[in-house]
Amino acid sequence: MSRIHGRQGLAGWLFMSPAIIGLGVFMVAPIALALWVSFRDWSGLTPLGASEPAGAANYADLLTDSSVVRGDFAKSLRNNLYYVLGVVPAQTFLAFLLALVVNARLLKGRTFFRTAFYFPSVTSSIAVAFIFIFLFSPTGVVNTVLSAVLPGKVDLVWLDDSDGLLHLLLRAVGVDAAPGALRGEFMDLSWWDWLSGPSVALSSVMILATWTTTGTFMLMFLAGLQNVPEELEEAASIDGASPRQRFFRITLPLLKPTLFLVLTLGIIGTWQVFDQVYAMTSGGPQKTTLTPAYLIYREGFQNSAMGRAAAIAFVVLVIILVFTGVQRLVLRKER
Amino acid sequence: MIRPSRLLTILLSTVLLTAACGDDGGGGTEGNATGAKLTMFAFSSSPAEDAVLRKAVDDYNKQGRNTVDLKVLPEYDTALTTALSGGEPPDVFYVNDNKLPDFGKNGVLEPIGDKVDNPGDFYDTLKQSFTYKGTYYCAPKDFSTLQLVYNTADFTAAGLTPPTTWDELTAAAKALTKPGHPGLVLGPEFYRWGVFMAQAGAWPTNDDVTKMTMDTAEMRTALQYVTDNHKAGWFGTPAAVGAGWGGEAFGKALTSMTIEGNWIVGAMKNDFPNTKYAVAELPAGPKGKGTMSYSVCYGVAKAAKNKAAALDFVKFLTSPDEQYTVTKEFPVMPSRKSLADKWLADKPELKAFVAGGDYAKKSVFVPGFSTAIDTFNDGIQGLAKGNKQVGDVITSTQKAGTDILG
Amino acid sequence: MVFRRALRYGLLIAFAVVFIYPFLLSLGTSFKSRPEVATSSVSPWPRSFDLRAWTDVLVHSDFPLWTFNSIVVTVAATLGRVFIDSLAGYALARLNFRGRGVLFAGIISVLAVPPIVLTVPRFLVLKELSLLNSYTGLILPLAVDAMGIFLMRQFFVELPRELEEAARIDGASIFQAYWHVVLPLARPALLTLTILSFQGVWNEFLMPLIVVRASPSHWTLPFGLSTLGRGGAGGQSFDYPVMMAGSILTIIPVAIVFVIFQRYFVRSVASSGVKG
Repeated sequence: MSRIHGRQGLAGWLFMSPAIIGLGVFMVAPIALALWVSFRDWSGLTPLGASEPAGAANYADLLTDSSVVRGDFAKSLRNNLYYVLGVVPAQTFLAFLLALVVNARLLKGRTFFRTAFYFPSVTSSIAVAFIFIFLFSPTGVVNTVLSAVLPGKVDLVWLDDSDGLLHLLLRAVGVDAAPGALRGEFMDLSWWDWLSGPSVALSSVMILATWTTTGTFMLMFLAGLQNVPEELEEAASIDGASPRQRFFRITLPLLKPTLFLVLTLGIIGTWQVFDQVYAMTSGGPQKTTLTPAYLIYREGFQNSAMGRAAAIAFVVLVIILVFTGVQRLVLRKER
Repeated sequence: MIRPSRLLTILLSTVLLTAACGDDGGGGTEGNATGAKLTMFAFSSSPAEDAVLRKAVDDYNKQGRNTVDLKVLPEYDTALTTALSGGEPPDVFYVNDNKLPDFGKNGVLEPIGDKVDNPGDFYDTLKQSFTYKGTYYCAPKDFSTLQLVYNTADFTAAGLTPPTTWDELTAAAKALTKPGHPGLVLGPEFYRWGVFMAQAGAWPTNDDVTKMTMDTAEMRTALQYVTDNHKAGWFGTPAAVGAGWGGEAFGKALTSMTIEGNWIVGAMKNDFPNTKYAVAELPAGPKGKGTMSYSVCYGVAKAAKNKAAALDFVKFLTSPDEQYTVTKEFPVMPSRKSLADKWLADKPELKAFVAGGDYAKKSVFVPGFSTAIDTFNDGIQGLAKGNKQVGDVITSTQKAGTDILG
Repeated sequence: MVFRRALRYGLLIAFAVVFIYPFLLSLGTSFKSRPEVATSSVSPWPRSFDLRAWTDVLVHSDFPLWTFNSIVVTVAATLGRVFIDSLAGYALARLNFRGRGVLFAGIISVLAVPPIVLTVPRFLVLKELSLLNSYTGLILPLAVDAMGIFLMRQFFVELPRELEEAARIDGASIFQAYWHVVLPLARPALLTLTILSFQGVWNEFLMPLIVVRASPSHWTLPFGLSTLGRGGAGGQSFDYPVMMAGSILTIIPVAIVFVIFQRYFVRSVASSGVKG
């Protein structure tokens, strides 16, 4: 036995060394370097060594000092918040629904449907964004279909419409401007603007995101459904449980771990939306599709404020951790 | 399975190599003026401009002194900034005048403005655009102005002549408006709306860019005028008619007038050769004529390996002969005064663009001012769309600018 | 009962249309002339059958170069991942050595760092290593991936020990046992990892955007694609047929791999579910 276990210490580290070097150089070192940069005033244009220490100024610009930057950061948070609140439930619900239908016994063409639903998930985000730019163009499919279904002609300029959905709803009932109570500001953005809802442009990106990710999550639910023992269902049905009871008493509780996973991955994914924004709207119109991820890119590579971009990255990291943490707590309590 | 370890070897050797020969640069205009390989970054608005630029580079390469590798990049400013941040800048590159203060402040550019041949020949206003804190960094390539581009057939059909006042512009736009076809299409952004500010005697800052001056009656007048015309449906944005920019909307006959610069000539020739159009000076506002100009210079990177060769190339590009050849083909205006008459003699139909040079305003402010312009652009988009008020836009831009100017 | 079944198939077919139609439409649109696109944007069937967009993409753009770069980067990064991840996964699952627990915890926490947070940091490190605008700079960061290590570890943990222990008793070294006995058994897991990596690297957009933005000769497909079909002064005019042709071409390789190895894709998603 000693011969089998003898050299394992050396071998273990040897086997691990490519991974350790790789993760060290491209994951750990970058994070450490960026943390340092986030406390410096560095444009990116001059050598890093020549930058000045900035204390917590980069963080203060984002969180406490009134400025355009903080206003933009607030907008990006607002947009992404609506994005998460829209996309995560939509993709989870649709994925669950499709998984249930695809999982039904004696279904013909199961593989075909599963493939069709999952395929968008494996394609290039830029290619899909291009296809959706076309679908949402003023003379595109979306407007054509809506015009056919709804009374009147729909000629929305989806990707260039900055009106928030909640604002539009309020306008429909006659509220056109901020009521007195919402005139105040939080982080350089008025309460009225915080409560705008996602803009029409952002909604287009949200529809795209739901369309692309639903398939993956459907597969996860399918895997979860395979774990529901058939005997259990049969036993319940012999005991006289209706399909509805079987679903709520047996299937759903057993799927809780999968649901947990889908929600976690959904939240992590939606807080990072970048490619689609880059290709479809570049953060516009009127910054209603600006997301923290896009803001990191804009500040670092367009506005030459690398220090600030690094600071945003760390704030985003904290937000994601908090969000997944809260969601973990909520679901764990129910378990 | 060999690949990854080989990659690691490559990684290590690259690191060692760069460590070994990383520091052979230094200050000053050193290196030989010949035998160098240079990289140039540029942007282009159309295949027509692309072709002219490539020909210029080919002509230089044929002279056999140095070889230039031209890279025409989309989303140019970001690509350039990324390259500069990465510490591997191109040797020669276009610099937009509105980026110069930032580059000047960060010491990105080698000051070569006065090292080209006969530097006194360039327009003084252009030289000012490329001067930051007393240092004249780079020689201007050429310049363009915004003017009113109109469809001659539509004007004849409606019995119109080019408008000379705001009232006439409104009347013309109204007469040319049809459903889905506003009379005038202009992009909702600072330059296109800026012409009306200039005509109203308004400007976001004072002349020496030390104070924000958004909150004036003149600014209100300018913004309100354009906003009201959008509200009435006589002015429109390119996006609203399903186009990407004014020239596309104009070429596709989605409007009869647009506000664009010299580059529209190349785009029309290329994409819409059958549209008949003419260029007129923009109408005068309450404070007379006004427009905006754009300019680009040939920057040489402070970190360039071979500055002497880079300067040799810039001298070639800015030489009167070469500049004339380029601007003749792609009709932006020469930056050398001595070429003005000769250039205009070839293209009398573009006189309006030249005339604009006398009174044009520029979007050149101070380092970091782009966030204020961003905020203004948001506001302008809101005014064009009808979901913002003039007063709110003035307040938010004033505040954004004050953050920067103090 | 009949009604329910009809409802079920109705729903499935409706969703299948929603998921498939956009691809068919973009394929059809790529063969349309620009005037036809302006007037007919719903029918996937091109009336004009114009090859202009395809020649624009294949002949007049750098699309072939981007494809070549994408292949180089994808193959190299995938090989790197398979090599690094299987070694590390094996060590974490099977070898007893000091510090294993710490390393595993470290990998799990790296796994939790969202890639977007690494945008600026990775740019900085690659800059310091002078790896910007190079293949190496594109490949190396993509060849390192904590998720793959985790997946391989999970696989090796569940693999029966008998065979390799027999090999070790017969005198094979740890590496020999790993190479000759364990790896062949791990083929399904390696294939899953390969496919996951192929798809991920092929579609990767953020890394090329940051690393090779300034060097067009190193652009990979997704970034090259993002510059296609954009004309006009501000780059905001869309040439839809060109955009669609480029999109279809970018999707095709993944689609082929997807159809052939479908069950591995499904498995990769299912196995990432272990994580919860």
